[in-house]
Amino acid sequence: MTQFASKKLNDLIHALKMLPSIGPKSAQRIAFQLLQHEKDIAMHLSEKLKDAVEGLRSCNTCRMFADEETCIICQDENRDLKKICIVESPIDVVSMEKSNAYHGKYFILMGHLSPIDGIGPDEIGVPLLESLLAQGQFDEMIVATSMTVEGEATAHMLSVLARKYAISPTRLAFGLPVGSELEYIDQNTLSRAILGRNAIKEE
Amino acid sequence: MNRDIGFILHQRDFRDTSKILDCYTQSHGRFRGIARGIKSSKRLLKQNIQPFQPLIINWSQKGDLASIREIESDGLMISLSGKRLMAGFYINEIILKVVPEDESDPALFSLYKGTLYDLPEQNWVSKLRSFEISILDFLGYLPSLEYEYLNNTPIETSKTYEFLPSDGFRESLHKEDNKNYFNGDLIKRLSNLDLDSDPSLRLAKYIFDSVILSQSLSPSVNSRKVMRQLINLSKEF
Repeated sequence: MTQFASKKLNDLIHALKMLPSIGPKSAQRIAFQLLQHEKDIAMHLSEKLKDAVEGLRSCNTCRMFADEETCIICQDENRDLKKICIVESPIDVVSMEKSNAYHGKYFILMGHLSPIDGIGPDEIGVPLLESLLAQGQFDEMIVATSMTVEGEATAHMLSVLARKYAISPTRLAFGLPVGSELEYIDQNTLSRAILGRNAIKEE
Repeated sequence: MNRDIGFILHQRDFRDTSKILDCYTQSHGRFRGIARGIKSSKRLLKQNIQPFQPLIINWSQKGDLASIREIESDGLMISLSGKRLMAGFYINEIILKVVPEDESDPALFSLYKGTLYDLPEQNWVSKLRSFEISILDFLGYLPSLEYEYLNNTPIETSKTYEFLPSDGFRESLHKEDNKNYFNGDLIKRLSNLDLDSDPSLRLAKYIFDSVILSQSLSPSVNSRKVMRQLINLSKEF
């Protein structure tokens, strides 16, 4: 990496480079832009970053980022309190919320089963999830883990857990992306989509 | 540039857009490689980068870490779910930890592939045990199951034997009061990979574990630890 006259500047560029999808070139551009033209924004950004890192905690119930002991979603009594959706990471909650098709509660595993790495149920918060399920308020568990073999293993484990508490387990469907053409779909996706086909509803 | 059919045993993310892949191929055995820029690459489709997916792998080898250039699908993924999927992870871990990198016998690859395709819904434990014994046999770590090692006399069904991982079975005057002593009949059945009773399974596991330990091949099999956690969670596993 090019070294500049100032150590502080070099440090900033180095720190920016740690961010996802920011390479050395972008880091350099961002650093110069902020320091040269947008000092206010830079100050604001540094304060917000500090606030978030220091102030945020993990929700006691679902493990989502929260300002207080429980997150906004868990505090919301207007949601469907009988449904719980299990996701791998906090950003998945954002995706699920954007879908606007789900209005229940969540639980975040912060990972997935990975037997070869020794990551089992204890490492992904399953004991906490189990205590939540044991309270008996849920009738459906929607498993929204990744469509990978690890996601599949995790989904199976969750389905066993759900049945133990008489909760009906469901999983997001394997299917074709909206707007896609069959010709371009890989055979595994297509095969799962055929197996998981739906009846066409009468209007 | 190498090109071979094979599978991915394990993968982990590397930096933002790359992955480190442990591959196992038919004629080149096992190797570790880096797939650069996997998230945006057209030559490395993410759908294909999965364990249990038959693949055609193109890579170049320079130094310890191969560079994986292109991965094509070579058919439908082996359909594994539930307990069979857990067994699949276990088999991958065994290959990853027990088979040396320079071991490139296509027959061993066939055994691996065949075991994955034939994993039964029930009794998959005996399939795993017989896979382990076959692996030891392949790698030349399996002591004789037919002859006692001290006098080279055939193992007899009515006698009791003690197992020593580096040598094999030795006749013992002790009765089967200790878990390390095994009946000759059991040993003979194991030599035919006849593994349909609990004592046979226990013997097979004992042989595998003690041989692996004595060869210091693998400090621990992580999948087993995870499996124990799952069983604690529910008897259904």
